[in-house]
Amino acid sequence: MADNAITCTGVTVRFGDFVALDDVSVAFERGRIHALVGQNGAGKTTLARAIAGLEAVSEGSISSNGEIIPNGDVIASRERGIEMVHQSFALPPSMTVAEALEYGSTVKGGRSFTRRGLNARWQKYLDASRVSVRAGEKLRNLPVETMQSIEIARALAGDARILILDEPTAVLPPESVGRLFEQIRRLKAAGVTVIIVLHKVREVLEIAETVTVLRRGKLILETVEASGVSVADFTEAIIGGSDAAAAGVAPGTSPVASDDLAAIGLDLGTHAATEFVDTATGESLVRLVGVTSASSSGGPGLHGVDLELFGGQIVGVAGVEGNGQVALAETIAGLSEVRDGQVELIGESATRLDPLRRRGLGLRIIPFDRNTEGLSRSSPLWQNWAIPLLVGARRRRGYVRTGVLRKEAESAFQEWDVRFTSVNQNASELSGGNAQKVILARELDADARVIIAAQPTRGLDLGAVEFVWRALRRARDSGAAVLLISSDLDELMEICDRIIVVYAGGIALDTARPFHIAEIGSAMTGVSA
Amino acid sequence: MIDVIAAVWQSATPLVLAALAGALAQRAGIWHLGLGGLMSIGAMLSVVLAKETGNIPIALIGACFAATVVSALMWFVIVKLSANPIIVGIGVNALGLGGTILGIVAIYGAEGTVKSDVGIPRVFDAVPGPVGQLSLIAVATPFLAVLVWWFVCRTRIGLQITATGDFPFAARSAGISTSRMRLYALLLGGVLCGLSGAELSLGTLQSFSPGMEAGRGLIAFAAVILGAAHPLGSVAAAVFFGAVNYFGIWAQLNWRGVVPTEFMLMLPYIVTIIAVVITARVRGASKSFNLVEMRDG
Repeated sequence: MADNAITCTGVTVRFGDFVALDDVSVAFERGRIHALVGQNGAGKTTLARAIAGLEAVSEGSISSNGEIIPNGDVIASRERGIEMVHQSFALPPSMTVAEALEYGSTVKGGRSFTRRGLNARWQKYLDASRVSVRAGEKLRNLPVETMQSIEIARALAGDARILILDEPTAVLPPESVGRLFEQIRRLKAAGVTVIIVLHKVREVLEIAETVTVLRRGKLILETVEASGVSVADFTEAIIGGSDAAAAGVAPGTSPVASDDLAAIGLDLGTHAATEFVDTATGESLVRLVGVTSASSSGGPGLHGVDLELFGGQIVGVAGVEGNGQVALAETIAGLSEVRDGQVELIGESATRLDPLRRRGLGLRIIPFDRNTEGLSRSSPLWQNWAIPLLVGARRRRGYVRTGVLRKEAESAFQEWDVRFTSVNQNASELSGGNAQKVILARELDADARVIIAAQPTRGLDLGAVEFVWRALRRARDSGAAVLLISSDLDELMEICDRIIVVYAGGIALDTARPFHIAEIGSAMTGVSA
Repeated sequence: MIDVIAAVWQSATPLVLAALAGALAQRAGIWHLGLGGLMSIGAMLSVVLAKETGNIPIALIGACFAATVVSALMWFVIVKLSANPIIVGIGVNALGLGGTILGIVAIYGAEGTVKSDVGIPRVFDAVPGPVGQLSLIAVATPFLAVLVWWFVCRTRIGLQITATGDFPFAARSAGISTSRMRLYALLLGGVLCGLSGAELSLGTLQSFSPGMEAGRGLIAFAAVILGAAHPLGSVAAAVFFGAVNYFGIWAQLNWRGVVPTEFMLMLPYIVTIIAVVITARVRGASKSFNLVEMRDG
């Protein structure tokens, strides 16, 4: 047992009545790369935090090198060389890089300092860690990749022997993932034990030596050698046998296996056109003619864009983030100022139409960020669902019958399989997948004609991804025009009838099935333009 | 000119000390609206103790001690009992007003002004005019301001307090006890508010009357927001408000008859609102004060 960097014995973590981890016993061998895998809500993050001392365990114990670590004590864990890198980063945004490295430092000395001394000391460390950033830079101005590098550097600043990374790839653009994995391999070579929380099978197979799978707080697979697991076993372990079968009952879609694999990032480009039935109605529901729009915080504006969306089609928007995806969504939604050109929605000129009227025509939006744009986290679920009706209540002389709305919300949530305890609970209490279902229940009503779905599956687990896809397909089949903005090419190639590529505020490619990944890739990087 | 500066400084000193206390609390993530209440308590106790014992150190220590005890109580209610800091702050303000009236009535049998024969020593006693009026606290305040700045911005524990307010999850994940950091910030703030109150009553008039705090705590809080919770920024804002206040008094004396007195009395508050609005526009919405603690994802 002393050979194990971390040994968890019967670890149970409860939050009130909810059991986040249920009697988990698992050991992580020293000096290796261990993947901790599972769906959202499986308990991966909770286990990682329990090891780091951030979460107290209700029962059981965690030991390091054979010695039990005091329960729920970050300092005790850090003294044993256990450091954690958080998914959303634990870096106070108002601080400079050097200040953030200093405040949590366990290195003795330097309890007070001058600004120059502080910056010089940490600049030296950053340079040695190959993080190219100025120590005096404010954290809130830095890109995500740099933040992550700093967070890792911070974790390694002490005497880290066990590094826990919580979903480090979720926040990174695909091209940076390789660099992160390089660094993890270097750490392993230096003798550091790495526990990495992941949920994409492809990434697990690429980096991990052993795999541990959690499902609903229970241990399913215990540190098996990654090389010895078949993809099918793996998938079943993650989503569970019965769930996998349930996910397959999607009417009129491609076979189960292919969907599941795609959902976990394993689709290898077998996009057979034969699986697809052309459902396009030919009715033009959205028309942009020479549209130029104001630039937004999310990237450039549109430049002379011509685009037509037809009913019964899912049109995918591919592109490197920040090339006009936000502007495209906001222009159709009526949130962005159109400087030139025409916008037509469902046969009506909508260039100057406000968002509420556009909604009245049948435009529905699943926004980029479900927590800030899609939902009011501090409001009850029924209000989140009923907001379009509440805003439209003017027509009924402002009289709102909340009891009726609560009942309607409840039946809508049941229909959409939202796991909730009461319509009065706040949206903040829902997991990512359930939160997205609330938005779907609101947006994909019977009157939806045009649906803008912006990153609807980002950060969701397999089951929820499949659910969203099914909902979009159903909307398409009922004759709606769907615009799906996604940074996941596999997703686009899986469910779209047509893909457009945005590049620098323009449309660089507009292609129908069969898709050619090379063509899309070169349009995304601006090679073909 | 030097007289004007000294006069402005004297009228700004209570604000500066309270603003430093507010900035410390703000850094630790607590909106400290109870500054005024703590000032009132310090103001009353310092005068009463000075009158009864004739001993200035005892008066100052007593004032600071009482304000610190109430601060500890605030911490307990906010951090341990999870009460809303805004409501608790307003409560402390009410306590400061009501409690001091009660205290005066209990000690002297009637509500009224209490006068002390001794005051806080004046450092430049020999100099005529406003400079000679500057109390020891007023002279020490710039040094205290630098000390607080150094503590907050140039020590590891100061950064830990800042992390607590800016991103509590980050602080906790580094093993920092956010509740202890908040206690430190509030206790230090209590000392500063006690001094602020003592300066207000014992430092200038050598007397205390209930309600003499007159909204200065809230002005100090506005200075914290205006100064973006930076110790020196908050001090600068507090001095600015002190200057506006001084100008209000000056204008009452010199422009009498030209402009209604009521308008002059209103002026400092109008300027305060304008200044807060302008800085908010220039700076944009402050993100760090709105951060919500991250939860398991």
